[in-house]
Amino acid sequence: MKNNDGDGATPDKPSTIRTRRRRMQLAQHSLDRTETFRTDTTGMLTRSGVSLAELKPGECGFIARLLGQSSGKIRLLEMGLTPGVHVKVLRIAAFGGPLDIEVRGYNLSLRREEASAVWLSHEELDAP
Amino acid sequence: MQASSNLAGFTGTREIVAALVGNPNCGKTTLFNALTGMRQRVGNYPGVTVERKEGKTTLPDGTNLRLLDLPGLYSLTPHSPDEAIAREVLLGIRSDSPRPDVVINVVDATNLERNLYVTSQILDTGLPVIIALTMTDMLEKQGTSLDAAVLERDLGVPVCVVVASKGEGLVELLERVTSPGNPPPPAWQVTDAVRQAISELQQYLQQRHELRERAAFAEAVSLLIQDNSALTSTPQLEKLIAATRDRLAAADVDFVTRVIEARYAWASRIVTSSKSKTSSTALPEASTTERIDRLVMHPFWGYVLFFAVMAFVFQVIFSLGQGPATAVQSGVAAVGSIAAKILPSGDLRQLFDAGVLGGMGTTLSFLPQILLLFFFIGLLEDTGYMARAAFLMDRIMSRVGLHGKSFIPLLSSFACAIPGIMATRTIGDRKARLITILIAPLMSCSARLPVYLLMTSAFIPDRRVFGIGPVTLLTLPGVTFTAMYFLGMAAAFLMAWAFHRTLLKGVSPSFLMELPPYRLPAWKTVVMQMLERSWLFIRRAGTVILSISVVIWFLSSYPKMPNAAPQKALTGSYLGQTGQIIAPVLRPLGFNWKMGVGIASSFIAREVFVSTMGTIYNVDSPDSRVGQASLGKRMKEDVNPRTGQRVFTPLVAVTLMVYYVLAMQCISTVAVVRRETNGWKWPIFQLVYMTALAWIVSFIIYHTGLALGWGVR
Repeated sequence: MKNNDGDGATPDKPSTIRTRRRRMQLAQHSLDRTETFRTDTTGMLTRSGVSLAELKPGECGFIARLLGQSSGKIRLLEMGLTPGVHVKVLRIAAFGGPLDIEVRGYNLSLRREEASAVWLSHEELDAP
Repeated sequence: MQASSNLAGFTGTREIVAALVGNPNCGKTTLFNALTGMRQRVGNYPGVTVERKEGKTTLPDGTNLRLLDLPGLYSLTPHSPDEAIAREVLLGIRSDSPRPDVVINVVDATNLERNLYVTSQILDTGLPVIIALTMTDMLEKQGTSLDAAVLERDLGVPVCVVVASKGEGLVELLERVTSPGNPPPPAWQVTDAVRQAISELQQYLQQRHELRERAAFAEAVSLLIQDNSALTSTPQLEKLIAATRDRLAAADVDFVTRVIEARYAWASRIVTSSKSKTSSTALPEASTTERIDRLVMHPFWGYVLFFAVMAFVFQVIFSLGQGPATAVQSGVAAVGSIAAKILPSGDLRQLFDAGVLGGMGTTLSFLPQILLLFFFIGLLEDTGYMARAAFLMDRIMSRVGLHGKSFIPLLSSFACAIPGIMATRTIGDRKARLITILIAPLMSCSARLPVYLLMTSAFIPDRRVFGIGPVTLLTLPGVTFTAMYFLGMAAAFLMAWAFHRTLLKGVSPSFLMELPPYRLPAWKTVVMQMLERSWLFIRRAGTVILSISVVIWFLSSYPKMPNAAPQKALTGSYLGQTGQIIAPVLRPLGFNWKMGVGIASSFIAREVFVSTMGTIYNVDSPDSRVGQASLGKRMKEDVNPRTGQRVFTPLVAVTLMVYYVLAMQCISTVAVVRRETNGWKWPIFQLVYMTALAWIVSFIIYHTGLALGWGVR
């Protein structure tokens, strides 16, 4: 609708996506050195310094921040993906399809592109 | 009582308007049906395709309750037309809906935290709120209990536990509606930095629009999150918004995140204080839903199951739908024969028989399949399977701008595009839904079957293409048939891709979708939804189909030629003349004027082409096997008087089939698209693009065939 036109138009432009990807690759590079793994008491692998899209089924993490500015970001936040929240990837659809994640006690599916805007950290790095 | 006192009419009957709001899958529809029973009205909000539902019931004290069932939503921030409308209704700024006196917020106890997010936004509107807490029985099964009294204390608004399917808690809920009490001030807290940054904007709103402090705060927040306000914008207001944004940016405050975070922090505090574990299981076992999902969403078995479910559903729709469809047709025929006895023979009887009954018969013959399809869609949605199916199919569909949920509408379109297009309602994303509607008629529907059958059986030589030993596995007609289906699918995906890249570029796609826990279906909800959607089809599409049927009848019967043979009468009619007028346009495709008449007449429905050809070539009952064979024979013998060559060659037959694969030869579909997109823009666009596509592709095929020397014979 009208309110979406301004914000919603940007993430769809291929050029914007490409810039974002490049920016994220750069961010990834600097963060790679700080990327950490940790296994908690239940044996789950918690990862940090990566985006949600890079997690494998069974892995989890805490949300550090959401990239981007558009209404897509508001949507993710409103569905409960706020900083400090624990997310776990339950499964990923075949052929690089959407992810099924557990957040705030419910199951949410989102596409890989949407998940790549969700940056993860250890809880203590960005406690709410 | 206080809430409704201003509505007391002088007749003595009072009415309270309540809005029913809640997340999708929270049990809202079940509650709405339990409260209102059959006293509901379903329609659309004008100008948009958002379903509008309203019901009536009587409160214990005799007051009438008007219940507005708003679309399910996760937030009042308007991301979609659904949310925009719900917000406008709550704020009382829609002229077609009264401002609600009270809001009944349906909250799913098993998913309390996320459900309370929208509650915090509803509380911000300042309207009296009652919480209807659902699914508490499910929560107890999970070993957790929820203290409704604590919840009521923390929220500051009445909380009623309801089990709508058993009718529990409904009376209490209705009693509370008459005295909901005033809402508390917003309890969610933003940081001081945020509060200070927006205080100027808040004060301006408070003074200029005479809002209370809390309402002004809420409005300031929503203005800053998205430029969409109930208030008329002024230059001063816009300046203030910009200034506030600058101030927030200067202080390095991510306003949107802070506000949403603050609401969730409030929700999570409430959850912690009101929930307690009842059973003492040490390790949380995998839930039933998770265990089912391991199979249903499995990268291999998930697809196997999905295709099995689809095969079952469509097999049932085909086989069970066929009988009632025939019954409907014979019922219409019976009415026709009664009318023949009552009405004097002449124009009136013909109008009634061919125009009115014809149109009604067309509409009603779709009905059994539509009912069945909506029954299954309702069932799949209600149990939670639909979201999983969309999850599995999304990757393939998203490549061309579609949504995982586009799959079922497209599959239904192989039976008939009408239920397929109506089934696109389940697609939340506006762009994906529109693309699905635009390409759905390219799927070869059952009405094309008679055309394919006539053409292949008459003109495609029955030659063996592939086989093992004495067993013939593939024949040329079989291959042609299959090729037509694949051509339709290929065209559909190509066009979807083209629309995705050009016309509808720039609309952001999203697949953010909840995968709700599996639940046993609420049969009443499923059946009610099936009936509602089918009734909408009869009422809205039916009227258009009926009126166009009358027009087509008129065109095919006038001017009157009382003593002429049917063949002469048809070719001399306005419709026949039209066919001859469009003949020059069709000549480059190798079609003559007879095919022009056939194409013109089959705008009402594609299968009419066969009966029109039957009339033109003077064949009785061309639909029957014998009739079809003799029609094919006569068509074969037809010779162009100028050139002496045959009119129909295998190449012409193939070209004609290709034309029918791609052209929008169906007014019923046009009517449904008009209804579903709420205007003539998209159906006309669709008609034009499909006809153009059909003409161009047919032209290419015909001339390529001629160049390769396939045209003779």
